Amino acid sequence: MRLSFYWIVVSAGVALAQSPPRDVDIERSHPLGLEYYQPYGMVRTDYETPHVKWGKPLAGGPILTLVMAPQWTHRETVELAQRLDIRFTPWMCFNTELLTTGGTDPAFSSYLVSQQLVCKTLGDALEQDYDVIVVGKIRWSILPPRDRFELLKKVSRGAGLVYVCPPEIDPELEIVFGKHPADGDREILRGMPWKHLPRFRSANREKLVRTSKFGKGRVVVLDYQQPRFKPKGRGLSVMIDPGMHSLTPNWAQVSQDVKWPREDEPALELGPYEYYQSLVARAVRWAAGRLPEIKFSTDLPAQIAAGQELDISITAEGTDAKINTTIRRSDGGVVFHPPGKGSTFHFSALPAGHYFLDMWARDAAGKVLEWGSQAFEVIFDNSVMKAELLDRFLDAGDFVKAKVELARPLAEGEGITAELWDIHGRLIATQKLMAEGKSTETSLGPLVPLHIMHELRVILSRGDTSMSLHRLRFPVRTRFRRDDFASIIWGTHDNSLPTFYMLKKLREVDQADVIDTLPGHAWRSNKPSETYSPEVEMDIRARNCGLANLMICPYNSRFGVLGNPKNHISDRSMANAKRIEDIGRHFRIDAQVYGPYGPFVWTHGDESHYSESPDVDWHPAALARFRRLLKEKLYPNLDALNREWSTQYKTWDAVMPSTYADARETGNFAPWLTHKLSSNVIYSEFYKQVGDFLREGGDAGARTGFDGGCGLNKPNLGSDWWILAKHVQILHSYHGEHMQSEVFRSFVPADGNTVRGMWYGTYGPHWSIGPNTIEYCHYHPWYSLFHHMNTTWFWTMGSPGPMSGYAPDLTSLGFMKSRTQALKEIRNGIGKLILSCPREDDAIAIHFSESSRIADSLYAEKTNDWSNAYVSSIGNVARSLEDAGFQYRFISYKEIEDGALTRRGVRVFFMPRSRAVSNREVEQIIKFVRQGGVVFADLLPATLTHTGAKRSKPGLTEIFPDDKPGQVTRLGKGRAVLMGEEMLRGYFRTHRSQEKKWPALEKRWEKMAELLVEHAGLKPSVRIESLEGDMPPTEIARFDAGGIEFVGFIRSYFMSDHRAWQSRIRLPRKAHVYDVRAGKYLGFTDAIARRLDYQAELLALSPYRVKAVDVTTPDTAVRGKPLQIEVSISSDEGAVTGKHGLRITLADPFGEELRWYEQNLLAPHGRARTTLPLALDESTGTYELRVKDCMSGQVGKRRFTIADGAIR
Amino acid sequence: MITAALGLLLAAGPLDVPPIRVIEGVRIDSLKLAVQRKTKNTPPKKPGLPSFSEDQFSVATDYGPFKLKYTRFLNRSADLNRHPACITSDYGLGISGFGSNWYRSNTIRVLLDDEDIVARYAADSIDVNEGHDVTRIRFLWKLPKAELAIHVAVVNRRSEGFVQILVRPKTDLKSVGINLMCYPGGYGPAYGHLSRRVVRVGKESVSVATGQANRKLPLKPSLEWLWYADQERADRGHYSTGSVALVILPEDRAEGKVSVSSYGIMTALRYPGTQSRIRLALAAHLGPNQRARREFERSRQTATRILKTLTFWPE
Repeated sequence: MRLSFYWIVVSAGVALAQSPPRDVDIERSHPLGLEYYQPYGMVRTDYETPHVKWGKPLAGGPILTLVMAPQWTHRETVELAQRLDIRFTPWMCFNTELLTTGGTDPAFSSYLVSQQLVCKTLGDALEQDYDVIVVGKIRWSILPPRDRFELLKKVSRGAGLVYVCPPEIDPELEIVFGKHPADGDREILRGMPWKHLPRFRSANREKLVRTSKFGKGRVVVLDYQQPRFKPKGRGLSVMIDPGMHSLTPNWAQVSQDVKWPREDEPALELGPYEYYQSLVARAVRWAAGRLPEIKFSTDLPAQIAAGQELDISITAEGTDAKINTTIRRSDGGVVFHPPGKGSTFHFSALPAGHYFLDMWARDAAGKVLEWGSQAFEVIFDNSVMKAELLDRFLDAGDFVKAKVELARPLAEGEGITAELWDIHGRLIATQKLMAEGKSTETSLGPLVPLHIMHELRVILSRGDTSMSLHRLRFPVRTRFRRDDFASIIWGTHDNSLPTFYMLKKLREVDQADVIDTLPGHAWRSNKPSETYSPEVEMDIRARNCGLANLMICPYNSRFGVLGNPKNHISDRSMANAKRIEDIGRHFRIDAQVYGPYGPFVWTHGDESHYSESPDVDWHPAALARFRRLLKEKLYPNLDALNREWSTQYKTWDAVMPSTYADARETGNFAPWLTHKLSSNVIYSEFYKQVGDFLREGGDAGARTGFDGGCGLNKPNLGSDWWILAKHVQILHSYHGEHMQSEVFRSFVPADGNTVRGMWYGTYGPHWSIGPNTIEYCHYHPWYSLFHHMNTTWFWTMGSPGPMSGYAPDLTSLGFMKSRTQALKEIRNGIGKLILSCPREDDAIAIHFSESSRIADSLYAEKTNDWSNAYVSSIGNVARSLEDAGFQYRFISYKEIEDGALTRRGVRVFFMPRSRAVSNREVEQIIKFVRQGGVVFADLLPATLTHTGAKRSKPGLTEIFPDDKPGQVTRLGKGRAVLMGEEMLRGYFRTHRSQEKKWPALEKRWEKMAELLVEHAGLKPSVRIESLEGDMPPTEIARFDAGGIEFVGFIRSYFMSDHRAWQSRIRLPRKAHVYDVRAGKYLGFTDAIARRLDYQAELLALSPYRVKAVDVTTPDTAVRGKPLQIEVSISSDEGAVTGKHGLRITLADPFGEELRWYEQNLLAPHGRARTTLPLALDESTGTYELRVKDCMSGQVGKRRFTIADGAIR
Repeated sequence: MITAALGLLLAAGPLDVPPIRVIEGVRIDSLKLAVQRKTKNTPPKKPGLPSFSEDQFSVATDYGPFKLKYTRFLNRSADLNRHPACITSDYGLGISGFGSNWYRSNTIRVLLDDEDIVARYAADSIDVNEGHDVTRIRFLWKLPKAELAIHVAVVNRRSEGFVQILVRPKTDLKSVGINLMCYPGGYGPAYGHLSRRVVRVGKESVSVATGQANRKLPLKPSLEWLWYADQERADRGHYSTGSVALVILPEDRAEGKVSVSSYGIMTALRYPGTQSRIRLALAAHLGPNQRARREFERSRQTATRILKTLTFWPE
């Protein structure tokens, strides 16, 4: 009987619910008419960061400005435009040394533009008129001569020129800068507290700002006198500019490549940054002839006493304009705006520290005429000399204990208080301390961390006045999202403003949870240097992530890839105890540095594998492990081995493996194949051992392993995922229709401690796909979720650049927006719910036989060691099952030996190229068939034992009597079918072709469906019927939520056909159907109409319709106490039996969502309880708690009040 | 040397660049379009065969290096006269410019009375004339029936390679022909990737996808330009890249045809034997088709004007 579920258009009178349109609404345009993924030329002011509006709005209107700078530093142009009223034209080259770069790898070169375009945009830019041209750190000589001439022509005719840190003063610039010096430096530096800024403290003033005239134009050279780092390389390895700043000074760098003075702390200079920008803004104004002769005068002394209130006179000479002022801490935080009466401004008492007084003169319309700043210091004769945590490894529930040392004992009337804050600005705990002499201790908590970074503040006070404030920032291990869906991003973490805000935006806007690749000590300790400390770099990178509330994924080493050494002996043997201990030395340091940040996961390498050589490793330690495996697991005694191998070993120590060539030539497979089995063991045990160094060294509970997968297509890759899954906590591969993810998702340990995911990202999956697309970035997260991956891994953001999901202005490129949209849906509760539900498998299992996979390379038609035929064979079965509407799981050789086939209720068992099968497997398979199971094989199975020894007759002769395709053999209640290889030949290859070749599948999935119906009586539970002719197959994944069934639909992106087909989905029963993504009820039905395209669909089949989400909390909440919440789902049909996913959000009295209180919650039987850890400084008023049921979209709301006078 | 007309034309264009410009005392040397030439001579593998020679030219421009390649057997001595200069279609004169899909090994063949001169004979001389605005390379054949020159002019800040074919017949010629070879979208079909090659001439277009039979597009004498692209990836919702284009002067009255396959595309231009001068502009685009097409549309008129007025070789 031939079935054709998909193509039969059923026109029975079924009421059909139309799906709402849910197009991914993302603009596919570019300001220069380039492709939407192209970052070049994208400089918009959409993404706003905190800033001081020094000159905005500016009296006289905007300054027309051309900003010429390296591409990936143009965030600074936006930063300038936020602070100064400019109407800017951006022009960008690749870095300070190159107009463009190129690369043959399309993954990289897709994001580069041609030199033609760069020159044309410069030519176009220089055709317009400007008040000022700003050149940011670009080498003058890389500009084409014609453009240099045109630029100077503009300046000579009156445009201003601000040249920031020219890398070289060549003869042309020497004349421009030096022929007619001017004295604009005094005006530019007027009111600039440059001596108090960390990057300028030791600067030579004469060099810092130089001015001159060139024709009618005013020229400013800003020279920050910093170490200069020339970007290296060309093509693929080219670097963008370290430091990322082209208008302001680079912050202290912590890279091994950058020799920065070691004593210079690589701080986030967000406070000083305002004044660096102020300097640039003043230079632009002077060059434009827009800096008026207004001078601020104050009688503010350089030092004032803490706790002292005083009146300060501030005047602006040259204008009678209104003055307003701000007092700012050195870290940039605003302390207060001193109120003024006439020219007198009242200063409240300040605690000791360094401050800036900022002053503006504005015209009647409020536009800025001039600004200026003055530094001053507040002093007190006592201070906290040192505050030190007693334990740096802090977890939820811990108390923060610290030792505090004072400069002197407290005097009469003085007190000391400790406060615990997080970086969300929440006051968590407070404690009045008693000091004995000069020291005291504090203990604050318990911690319920909602942010990674916390701050201990120790306040010395006199009466009610704070006299001194000491801050200590430190991380807490949050362990966010361990039971939820998380998003991991490969990025770098330079100490720069663009990078800092990239990290913040990733966390706050773009659904990122974790940053991969923080370097390990082993990477960084190979070049000892007086100017560089690996630990400092590691800590700073982790800190910068932590400040953005991003967890970290240290990439602390890379192992394996043992190559093809002489005599098959690797000097990096993974069995060598001495080498492993050496790794431990570095890993223990890593655990000490990164451990306090609570890494989400540790990876020890991308694209790891054991060896591409079929014969490695014959190192003595590896041979010892090989012999132990033979003795303990594979052979009962040495005689048995000698019999099977035709050898005469007297002792186990004498046993040696053979080579691949020998095995092929002699047909004696076992001495070679068993050595490969030992490779798998060594590989897995190695990763377990090195991971233990981290767990024992400071990060107990660390999840460790490697990412990128190890491949299945060669015999010695170490890729026995059944064993690996018991030794590593990362189950990971690339995405590109590889089979590894299907294999390892089947072997996930029940402890819930694994990180499962796949790489995707800016490169696109393959050159024929090209750079990433909106469709692909929608597809990958949903595909991952439907395959029970709990993470996505995005490569790469850079710093940002040279490849990134962001444009230089930090706006998201189209594909990044698509990724964010998909992740937002998944991370807001759906992901947690789906991950908690068992994935249904239609009682179909596929044999994962590692011995067969290894053995298959010995049968390769070409004399090489590849096992592509094996991968294709399992892929043929897996993909045709999916296309026919079924699901499956892999079942390992060991599980079969242990009776899983009969114990788990498997009905159908596929044996693709299962040549090497153990006797215990044979017994269990026969038992399975006798009890009613159905076995399909493509070629005659069990011709070898699991050690690779040839059987005198195949082990499964009872059910597969010969190798005649199509033969059906009945045994007991079951049967076995030899499918042969022709039916699905090439199916997997076509499926992953990444071109629109799905018609070439020739609907062979229907053959698979016919087989399953005919021999096992299995039909797909959910069917798709196209109403518009042939359409690409769609994978259907189902999840059991205890009475509710979730059904996901996703078409493989690699079909490369994203069009929509009007379709009808046939469901297994009448149910209350919800469109989960839209949060919409579709009716009580067993058939619905949908337009299926590249977008994921998620339906819920519920036995009841959700009536309401009831939320209960106390009417009044107390600051500093947990808010108790109870949620209950009710239905029209009585009992709520299913598991629900809930999304909890809290809005404050002003209607702002307090995002740190967001929670995803599971509600078995529709019921859940949770708490929100309210802070001590919550605003008073009425809050609204919203709880959304992820399936139905129903939202329950509950208001409660925080009254004034609650505890503090 | 630039003609007076061209000087006018380029008042707002790229070619009127003096070697040195001075502003407020700053002397700025204009970019000289310097030619980097790498020659590799390979001795004959067997006695009696000609030696092999490869010249690679890289012309420095503001837009980056413009590339040409000429590979041939040096077969012009009398005793080797029967050996072809280019034994396969992978030899000859490649003008890939800033792209690579005008076939970098063999872009252009010139046929006199249907005899493929480039394939048959090695050029007698190769000369380079470097300039600040235009750099010229001349390939010269001195044959009994005619003298043939292929001039390639590289103009700063232009994407095209400007080509002039000069024929000075010594006998009556019946026809002059030019064959141009391109692979728009690249060489993926050689590795099993799908393709759909498209050639557009005015409002007409012809396309051939993987598995389809080759097609021909006849060319009319009023021909001004041709556009070549691969649409396969665009059909799949991605960007197709690597298109090329050809600009022809209508007064040259080219006839002929384009032979379109799902891989390589050959454009055969045919002229009467009296045609002594033919001018072409070859553009190659790295970016996606749509953008490249827009750029081509914007720049085509200027390319035509340059073709009309450019001095391809100084007097």
